[in-house]
Amino acid sequence: MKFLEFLGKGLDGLIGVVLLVLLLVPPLHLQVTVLETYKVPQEFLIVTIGWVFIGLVALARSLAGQPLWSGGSKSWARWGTIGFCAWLWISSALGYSSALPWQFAMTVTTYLMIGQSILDWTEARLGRRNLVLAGLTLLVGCQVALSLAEYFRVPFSTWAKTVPTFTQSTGSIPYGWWLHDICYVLGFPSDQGALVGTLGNVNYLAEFLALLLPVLVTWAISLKSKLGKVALGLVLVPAFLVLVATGTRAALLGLMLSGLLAAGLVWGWSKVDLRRWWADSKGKGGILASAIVLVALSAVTGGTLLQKLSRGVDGNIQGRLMIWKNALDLWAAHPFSGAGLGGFRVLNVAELERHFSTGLPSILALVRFGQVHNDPLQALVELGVVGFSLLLVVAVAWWREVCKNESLTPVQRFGHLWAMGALLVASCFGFPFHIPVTALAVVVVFALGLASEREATASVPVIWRPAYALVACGLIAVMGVQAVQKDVWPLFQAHRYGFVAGQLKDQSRYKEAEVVYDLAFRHNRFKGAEAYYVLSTLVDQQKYDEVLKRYDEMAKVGIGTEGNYWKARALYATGKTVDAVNTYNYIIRYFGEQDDNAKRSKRRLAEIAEDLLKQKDKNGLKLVVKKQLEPAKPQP
Amino acid sequence: MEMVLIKYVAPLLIAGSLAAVFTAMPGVQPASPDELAEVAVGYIKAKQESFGKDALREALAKEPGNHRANYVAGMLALQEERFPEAASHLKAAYEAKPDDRDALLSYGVACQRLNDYGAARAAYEAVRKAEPNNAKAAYNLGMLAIETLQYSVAKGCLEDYLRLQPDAPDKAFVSGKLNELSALLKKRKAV
Repeated sequence: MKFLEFLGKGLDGLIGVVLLVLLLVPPLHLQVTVLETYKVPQEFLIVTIGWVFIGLVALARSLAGQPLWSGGSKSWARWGTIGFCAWLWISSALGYSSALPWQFAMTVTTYLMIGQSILDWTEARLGRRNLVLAGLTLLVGCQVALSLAEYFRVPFSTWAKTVPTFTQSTGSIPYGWWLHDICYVLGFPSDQGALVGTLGNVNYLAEFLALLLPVLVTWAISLKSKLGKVALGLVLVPAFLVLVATGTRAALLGLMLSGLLAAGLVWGWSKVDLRRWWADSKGKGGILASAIVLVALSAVTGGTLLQKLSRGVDGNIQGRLMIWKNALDLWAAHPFSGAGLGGFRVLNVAELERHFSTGLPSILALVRFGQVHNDPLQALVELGVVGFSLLLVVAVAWWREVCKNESLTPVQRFGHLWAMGALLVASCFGFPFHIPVTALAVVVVFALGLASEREATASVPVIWRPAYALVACGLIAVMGVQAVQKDVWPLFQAHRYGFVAGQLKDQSRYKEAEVVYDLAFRHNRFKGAEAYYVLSTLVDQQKYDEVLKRYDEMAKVGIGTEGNYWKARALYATGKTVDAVNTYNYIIRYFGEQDDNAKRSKRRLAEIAEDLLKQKDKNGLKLVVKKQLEPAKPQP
Repeated sequence: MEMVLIKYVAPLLIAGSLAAVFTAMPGVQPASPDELAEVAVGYIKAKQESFGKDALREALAKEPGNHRANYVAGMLALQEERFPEAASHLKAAYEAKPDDRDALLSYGVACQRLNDYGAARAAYEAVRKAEPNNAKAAYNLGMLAIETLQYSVAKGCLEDYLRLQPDAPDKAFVSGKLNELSALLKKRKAV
């Protein structure tokens, strides 16, 4: 008995450490492909460390004689989540079929189980909530510090050159494991003064902060220690300034709207009646002062928000409207069960190809619009009415249960509702639920909102506890090993094979490069393989028809600007000058001056113009010149 | 009793079902030995020999007699002057694909470096018989003949080499060797 208690205490300490590692290490772990941080290896770490955490919590509970995963018992939000998880698998089976949805379902299940385990662990002793929140504060602090360093152009790129390269060029393990790579990655945005932290994109950072700031601010307010309040203030005030400086309209709108709604839910709707506020001179003054403060803050922090607001309906909004329309059309084709996880990307491309005979808009579809940029709508398209309804049940139940959660102070309840609402609004214009770091923060906030004093007392007889622990942990170990082996490991391998394929291609060993490329493609279609390896290989070999055929195959699962560049090369070589020029121009329009392929495309267009001049092809020349004068790309 | 069942057995059943689903889920088809051999080539070209060796080890563990993996492993061993290993891999590669003259020729080189002149000669001659125009085989046979003091054979082979490859980059070196051989043969006749 005493031994089991001793073991339980030791496990509790270990669980706390693993949880902090889970909260801090993956988000701060960097990788070289800056603009695609939601890919490997952050997810690799979240899933892998996540299973260690899930296993340890299960072991601790079993040894204490408590049932597994019973935290949040009688919670409708929890039952809804279990139903949603089951539907994920059913929907993947019914939807677009490939290995990817299964891998995706494993990842989502892992995240949900991490959330359940946090709930189990915090409900066992509610004071543990503080440790989780402290971990989140540290994380926000690190992201803000890095963002500011990038904003003030700290010379990370220069530092990267002074640190010896270890992993970046070996391909033995995914990028980002060594100081050189970290400096290299941070150096990329600092060259442009971008506020991205390790999230790789201003919008991702803004959504992440919009989720965590309300929870942490309200936690700071309810803290008794003045020192704690000051320490939190030192992190949260700069974090808020960074959020304003990102100029992300969706996140700021989410914070404002959700703040009002959450306040109404917690303190009553009469308190947030804007008409009453406006009628009152103090209220009117407050509203005007808030607006002035926001404008002033925006101006002080670079004026990005004001610039974006002054543009009105810009390319970003127009692009989103277009993709939402497509998404609704796709949903109409699979209304009940949806297209399955990850199905949107595949179907959207096919749909666009159908509308545009040249197939050119697939650049938009595949790169910018691989996601719907509206997570609720994407849930509807991929999981159908059933999945969407289950999500609604979860959201409504969670809001109701947080409102009734006696273990939270009203301010804390407000903070949780505000945070989740803000992210929900922001997710209507982006895809924060698809960014691993933000998704991890979501499950943490979800679990903290539900945690309350309802933990059942231990009732498994002491003698049976080791046996129960053995069976439970055995099953969980099988799940963890399978998830890592079938979900994470293929992503890791795809990165390695992609590197090797590139090396072979650079050595003009085209045949071998193709074999290894196909291997990478097989291990992970979306994430690991770089589709252009094989296309550039084939262009080098002048196998143009094969390029076009391969492009169509690859376009179904994802291809970037480089793929389109090689496609354009093949089109021109096979005499399809108009299509080639159009493709080059799309690359230039949508990826702009900074994109290497856009630069290469410009040079190719100049070469084509020279060729046409020599051939005295006036019509062709007109096309090139006209297309070059088209307006620039919309801002991302 | 019913409550105990629901509370404690139901989570185990759920975990068991999930574990079964995870286990039954289709995994990625692993790389074949041939593909692993190409991966090894990529690593070797990127000067990451240790990873290349890992890939080859994996390929050969899956299929010990795989032609491509044995060939790449043999060539790497030859490059690193691990001759016994090179000989055994290249022999396995040749046995797996008897029309692979490159493997046979390289097997001969490994044997020659191990002082197994009989095996080396047999390998070179087999290549020459199958491909009379193989310049490398003529060259290797010529050098082997010098090593075994068969100067007239050596002279004939090296002459064949220059005939088959008139623009050989080592033409000057081989011509020098031929002059030396002619002088030696003259001396020998005089003696």
